[in-house]
Amino acid sequence: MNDKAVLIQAVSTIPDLDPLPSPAPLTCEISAASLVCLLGQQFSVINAYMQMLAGTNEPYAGSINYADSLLNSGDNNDCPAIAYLYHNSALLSVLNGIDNVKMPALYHQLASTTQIDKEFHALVGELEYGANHLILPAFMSTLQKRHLLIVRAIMLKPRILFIENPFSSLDRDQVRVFGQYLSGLVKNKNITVITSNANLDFVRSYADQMIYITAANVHVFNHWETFSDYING
Amino acid sequence: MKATNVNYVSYAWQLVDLIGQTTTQFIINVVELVFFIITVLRRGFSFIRKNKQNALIKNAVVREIIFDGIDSLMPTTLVMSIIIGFSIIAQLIMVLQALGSETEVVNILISFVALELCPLITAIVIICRGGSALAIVIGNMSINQEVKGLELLGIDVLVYLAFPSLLSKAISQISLSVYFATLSVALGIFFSAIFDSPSNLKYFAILIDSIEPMELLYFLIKNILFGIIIGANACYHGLHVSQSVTEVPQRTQKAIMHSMLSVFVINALFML
Repeated sequence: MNDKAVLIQAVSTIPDLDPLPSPAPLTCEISAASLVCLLGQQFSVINAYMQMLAGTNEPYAGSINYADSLLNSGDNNDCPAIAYLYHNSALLSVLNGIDNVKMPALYHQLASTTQIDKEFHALVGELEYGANHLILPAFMSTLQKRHLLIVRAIMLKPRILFIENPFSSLDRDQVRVFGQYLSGLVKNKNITVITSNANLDFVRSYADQMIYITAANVHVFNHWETFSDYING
Repeated sequence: MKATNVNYVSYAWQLVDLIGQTTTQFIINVVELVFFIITVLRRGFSFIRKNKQNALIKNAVVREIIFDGIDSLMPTTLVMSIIIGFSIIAQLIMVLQALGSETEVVNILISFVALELCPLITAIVIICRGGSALAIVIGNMSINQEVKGLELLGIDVLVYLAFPSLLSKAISQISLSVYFATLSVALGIFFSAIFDSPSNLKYFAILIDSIEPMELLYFLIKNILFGIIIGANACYHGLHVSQSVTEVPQRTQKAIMHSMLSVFVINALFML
């Protein structure tokens, strides 16, 4: 992991929480093409750390440095290098699945319509579960909606993908399938995936870095064993 | 006696205070809406200029024109034209003929019916049909975090959601207004010919010759403004829905009322 480029460097950062439960400072380095899980018991606090790392919220204290490659995201500067999916992020209710996914890419004119079409089919085909993407989001399963949200974000070729509570409302089999899919994004597409409140089986199998957030401390682990030892006392 | 006088003065001040607050709020709303319209149009045209090949916005405009213009063409506007033609225009022709000359009848048909009444009724149809629906759709999108999701994808919501709405409402308003004015006046003359005298059919020829180019220009500008203001009110109020579902009907009501008010105010300004 150390030989990979560092994309985000946080130094003694504290998220801006209202009301302030005075959270602990976080110091960590997040590398390219790694899978990072933020864990803990207070969902709102963990998500506040996520949003702070993603730059959607300013830190209350400390500093966050982003790699130059994130700040200069190529030809199209409107296209974000960091994608963020809130736990309540939703597809546009007035467009079907295919149009929902293709729309941001068409808006930013990342490629021709035919190429975007091909890209869509390639990305959607990576998770096989026999879903019809021509229906409106209201008629989709949670897995399909979450999958399409990720595909929609990936169509813009981000370097980092933040996902809040990726496994909530998914059943056991869906968690397994979705976990494999997320790890595939890291391995095959070199995207850094940062999740909050991930399933522990998923963390054990795929996470490269675990950030455990408690009311008093923030611990950063680079191996499951050390994290597991810490948790088990 | 003194206490009663003090009460009256207090009530009077409260009334002045209320009028002052309402007026201030009204002025703030008008200024905000004007800024909203200018921002949407500026960003929208700038996006189109930069991305000439991008068909996304054009497709959105076409989709909304189909909903606002074409879908309401046959059932709503056709029925309204028949009703207005029969109940107002035919009777107006019959009454005016008894009181005035041919020229006066034609002038009133053009300036009152075709250029004033028809755009207003069309605007009311678009407000009730398209404006309210748009405010509800965008309001629900705001609550469901769909708008926030678009912003996180680097999409300018004003360009993707508001700009096509403003354009499509303006185009729909113009085309429906022309369609409605032509049809209702033609049907009015036709009904007056049936129920009064077949000689009333002469108004078809006189009407066409009597329309001034400047009047048509005013008609066009007025309808564009009506359409833009209807779309802007719907988008502005829809995007201001923040968290609660109860805000959606409240904002929709505001969008409808503000659109109605704006349309009547613009109409009055054009009469000056």
